Amino acid sequence: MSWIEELAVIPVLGVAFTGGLLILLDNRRLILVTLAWQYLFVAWLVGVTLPIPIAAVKLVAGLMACSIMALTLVKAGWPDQSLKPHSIPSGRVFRGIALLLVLLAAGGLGYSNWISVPGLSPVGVYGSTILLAIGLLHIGLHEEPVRVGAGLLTIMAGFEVVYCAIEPSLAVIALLAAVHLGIALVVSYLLFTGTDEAVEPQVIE
Amino acid sequence: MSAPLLLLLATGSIALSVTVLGNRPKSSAVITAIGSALMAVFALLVMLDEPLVVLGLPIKIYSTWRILGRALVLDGGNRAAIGFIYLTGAFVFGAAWATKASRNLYYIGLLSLGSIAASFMIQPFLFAAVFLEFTAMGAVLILVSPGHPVPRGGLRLLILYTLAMMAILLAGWMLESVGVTSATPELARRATLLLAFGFSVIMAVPPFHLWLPSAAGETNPYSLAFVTVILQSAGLFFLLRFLDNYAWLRAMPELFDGIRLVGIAMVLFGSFLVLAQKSFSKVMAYALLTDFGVMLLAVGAGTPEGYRLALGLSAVRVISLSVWALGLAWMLDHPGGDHLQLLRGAAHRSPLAATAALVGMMSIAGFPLTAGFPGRWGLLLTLAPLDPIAGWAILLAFLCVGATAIRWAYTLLSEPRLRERKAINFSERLFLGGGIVMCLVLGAFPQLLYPWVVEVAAGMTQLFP
Repeated sequence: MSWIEELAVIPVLGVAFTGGLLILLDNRRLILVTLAWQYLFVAWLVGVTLPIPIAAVKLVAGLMACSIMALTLVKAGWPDQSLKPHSIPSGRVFRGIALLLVLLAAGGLGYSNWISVPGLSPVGVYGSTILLAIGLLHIGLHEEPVRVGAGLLTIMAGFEVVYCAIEPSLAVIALLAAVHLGIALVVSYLLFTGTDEAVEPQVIE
Repeated sequence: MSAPLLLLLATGSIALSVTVLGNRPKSSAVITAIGSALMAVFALLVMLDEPLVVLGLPIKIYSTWRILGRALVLDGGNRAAIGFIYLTGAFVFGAAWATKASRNLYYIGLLSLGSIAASFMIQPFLFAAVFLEFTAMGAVLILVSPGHPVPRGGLRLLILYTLAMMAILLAGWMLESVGVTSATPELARRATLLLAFGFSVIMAVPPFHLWLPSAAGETNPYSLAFVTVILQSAGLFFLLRFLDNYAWLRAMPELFDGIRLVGIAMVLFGSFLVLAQKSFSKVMAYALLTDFGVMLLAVGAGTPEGYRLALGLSAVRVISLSVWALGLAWMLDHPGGDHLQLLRGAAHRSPLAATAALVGMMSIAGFPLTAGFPGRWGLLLTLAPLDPIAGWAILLAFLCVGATAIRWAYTLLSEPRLRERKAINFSERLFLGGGIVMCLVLGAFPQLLYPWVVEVAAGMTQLFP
């Protein structure tokens, strides 16, 4: 048993911690940094089931997704740096309580091995359940592109921990990596269209 | 050379050439429409796996492109569907320049068609869900633009399609690897639930329709029409392929009852909400919901005739919705100007555009002598003896959307807010007039369209024995 498998509880705690931070943080810069750390733990979780190079692909795709969103925000001068939710009652205390409930539910589901996928280790079940639950909470609480993007990427990461164990083909890994990049690109585009820089070009004809 | 690679490369190259053009709507429309039509011709007519001589050079175009252990295959089972989707694109792109749509519509729209074509060609076909996700990403970029920057509808679409992709991929794994059959009821139940969720999202079944009215209030109506037409067509083909591939699904009688029930619920939901709308774009969104519901009723008949009618309704929607959206987009002076009060008397300012919008709407409602009528009538005759409630639902959809059309006709024809006529040039007149004529001609002569559309499903040998 390699150290990756022996210490596999670390990424489970890591995704719970980074996922929790994603819910609680309001600063775009910190959200993207936390998301990047989350990808490191996700790659570790994938590495428990699959060879390290494949797990590294997940990490690289995730970091590229974070970089794409960060670059757009840098170009736009980090507008609305601190995100304050409007429509849904989501003060930090509310989000903290919701997070606690969701983590408890995810822990319970993980314990019951609800996914029942052959070949997936218990840490994989716990990790993916926590990621899926936190991602769903994220998109349920927010409508702002960066947050929705972070929520979707978290859900995708949770899904991939499971799906790569059952469908480890190269084509699927490449396609799902492309989905991560695609989500990041779409979120970047939405961020860009919301800035003052974005103007419909003049019609030439 | 492989045909799938050629098709996708050509699609990408044309899209790239449109980006180089900058914001030239007419040139972009001409290039994407012609390019899309050529792709359709290629998909329909290319000779596969046979030696050919082109300009004195011997070549062979293979039907299969292998990449990373998977294959994209163009064959008799999907070439008509690919041709259909590219022809849809050609039809919509052709008139897009008259609608002030964002330039994303042209090149992202073309790339989205390529993604749908890939979803038809990918083997195993379950991975089509990933390509539908790419199409949804393209749809978001089409719906949101600097001119229409509110991203709520687009974000909802992206969230829903991402969740649907995951559900379908997991269900696919259960079907392919675990071996779901009618002899494994627990697994079959799980797979069916996942599939039901995935397809509910793809077919915009309430409450997964929420992106549609949001997007309708935020975007150019023509862009919305394009997005809904391609997503729904791709979703319908995907659903039919599932039914074609898995005998145990077809053998579940409760599945078709369930599909009909969902269709009836959609029709009721859309029909009542369409009456309450005060924005013409939202009327379009809810009328579409009733139309999707009617299409599901056709699929829920569970007979080859029902599947054929679903495909026919899908093709008719391309024409009806494009004409409606073209007229509406042309009438709008600014984004959000489609409120009942703001469009009062618009028919006096833009008579041809108002007529196009109303004829398109009446065709979606299924009025006699419009393109939408023969399909609805055929479905009513097929379904009413089998399920009378479904028959009543079709009539209700007609009555509610029809009544809304009459109400909007009254609004558009009432005393104008502004008296001066909006200038219209010859080509705009040609496209608007052509759309109206097409809706009426296909209403009178449905045999011009339906037999061809039915060929789209020729490869589904289990559904169409």
